[in-house]
Amino acid sequence: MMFEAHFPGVPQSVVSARRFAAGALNGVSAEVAEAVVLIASELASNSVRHAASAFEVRVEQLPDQIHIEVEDDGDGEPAIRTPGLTDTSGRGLQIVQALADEWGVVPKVQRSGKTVWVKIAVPPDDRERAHQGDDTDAAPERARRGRRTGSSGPTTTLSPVTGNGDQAGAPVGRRRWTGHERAVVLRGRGCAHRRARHHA
Amino acid sequence: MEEVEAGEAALGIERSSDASGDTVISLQGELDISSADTLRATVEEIVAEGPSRLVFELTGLTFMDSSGIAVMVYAANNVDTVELLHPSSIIRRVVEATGLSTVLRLGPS
Repeated sequence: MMFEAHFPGVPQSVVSARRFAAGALNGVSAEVAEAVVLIASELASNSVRHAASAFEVRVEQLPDQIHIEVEDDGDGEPAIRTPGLTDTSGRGLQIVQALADEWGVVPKVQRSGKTVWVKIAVPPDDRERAHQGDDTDAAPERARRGRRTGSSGPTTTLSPVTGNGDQAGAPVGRRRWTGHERAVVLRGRGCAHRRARHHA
Repeated sequence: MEEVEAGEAALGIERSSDASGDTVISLQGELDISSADTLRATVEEIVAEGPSRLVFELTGLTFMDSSGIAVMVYAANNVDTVELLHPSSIIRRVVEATGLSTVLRLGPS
């Protein structure tokens, strides 16, 4: 299930983006949830700080991984920096890289803006918990917090992403995951698709 | 298009001294882009006093990202010793991921 929400480009939105990301998860360990929330916070902060742009956050939990995307209208491509021990900035993407299994940037075509996407693996224990969680009250609770986008079928049919062997190397770059391409298609429908709503 | 309502990161900042007379800043809540400036102002005041050691007591801090790290690095740039007491696991991960554990001394969680 993909959760999606739009946020104004102000610092307070970063708080909301974290709440939203946390609410999109189901049955994952505290460790994984913390990583997802931290990644969402860093990417949202970048949109506010560098792009001064409203932004969209998308979170999709698949059986074996979680996809997080933040899209904004700002120019420039986020790049990893190597700040010295005394530099007070430049650490956001460093943190994202440390937590992510894979991440990248997809610029918008013929207009300013980009999507930063991140993929992190869900450990086998968490997968089992998430599966069980779908049979409990957790699913209706999440449905209330954020509605799914699009009209596609079960999530499991939408996950021809990279296999388990892909998680060790943590490559960085412009690689796309298949789910992202789906997100682009969804966005192409304009206002026709529903967006999640979340009250902080 | 529906917009998500903006939230507020509540950050509590309390200043005290420890047994050796050094300044302790106790933090509660969430430290991020929306709350880091408030902490920065407090740290600037303390730095102006020229201390050699500054302690951040983090028992009550539930979240911190790179915006918080930036304030703590600013402190470390101006104070000989900066210690982070009782960091949560995620804060520990952030400090270690940024390679700053030599600059920001992590106490036991």
